[in-house]
Amino acid sequence: MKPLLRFGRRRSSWELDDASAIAAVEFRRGDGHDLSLSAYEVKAHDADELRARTIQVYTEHAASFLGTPPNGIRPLDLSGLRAPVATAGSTLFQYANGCHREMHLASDADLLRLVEQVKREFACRAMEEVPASAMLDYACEQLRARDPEWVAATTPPQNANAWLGLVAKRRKKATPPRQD
Amino acid sequence: MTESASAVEFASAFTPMESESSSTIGATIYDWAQAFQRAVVCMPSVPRSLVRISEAKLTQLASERPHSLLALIEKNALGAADLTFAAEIAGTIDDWTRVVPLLTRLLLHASPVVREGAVYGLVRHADRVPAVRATIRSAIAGLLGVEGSPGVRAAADDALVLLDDQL
Repeated sequence: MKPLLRFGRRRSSWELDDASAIAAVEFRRGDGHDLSLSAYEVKAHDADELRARTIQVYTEHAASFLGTPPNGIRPLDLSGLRAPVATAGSTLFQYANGCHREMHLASDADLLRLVEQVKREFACRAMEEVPASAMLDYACEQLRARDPEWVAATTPPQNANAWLGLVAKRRKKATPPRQD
Repeated sequence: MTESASAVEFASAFTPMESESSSTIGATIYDWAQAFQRAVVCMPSVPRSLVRISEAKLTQLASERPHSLLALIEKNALGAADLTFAAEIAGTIDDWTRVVPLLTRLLLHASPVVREGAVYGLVRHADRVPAVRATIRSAIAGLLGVEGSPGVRAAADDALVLLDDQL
């Protein structure tokens, strides 16, 4: 399986009836719409590997770009809608960068057509929920294992994202005190 | 909240302090004049145009003029697509006496994306102000009892796990 994962902004967006209302939440850039949709093409042999890779790539994305802790998400599989273009990702992580793709849309009208199609096919495009705690646990585990990319990402001056402080607190809480 | 909030009352939230210039909020005065005009140049009895505002500007407001952001939310000046992000970002403002009641009210908003944004805002706020975690937990648990949107329910379930982790 090789879904093209798009990480949404709100889990309830696709419950809205109006395509333009959905686009205003899910595909916003500045005061307008984002017409270069960022997505991640993840390869996996089975559902377990897909879930693990989804958590990995979203947590890496969040650690690189989000100033606040990642919310839980319900990723969408956008494969087959438009031809994805492999573009160099700008995360702090090699895996996420390697998976990064963009879908280029021609206009706002093109975006709205895409939104309408996704809404019609939502039941088969919506993937399994990923809770916020799974992403915090993943980050915590990578730090515990001293993953060099995570260590670098959380070492000044790279650690501009305040939410990584939460990961440190969670890790501390999960680590039993040393018996000296 | 109603659509007929007084324009005069709303305008007062945007009156710059004497020490402020347009550059304080990082936007051209033209941008703000436009937003201001869309928001307030109407009679109270006429449906008001909604302010469109980017997340970058909402974040900047939260940091530099937090009470202006709270006023935008309180006066119902934003559409649902902006309000959901405004609610989340408002959670980073330290004034819990205004933030918690305001976001708790938004848990009852008609739009599910706004209710979801309010959940995220409350969780952000609990991270910053530990003293209100129990109050916020109670509000979100209460939402779960009545919430009909699967997306908002998932967000609220998620929030309770994070809050319980912190309590």
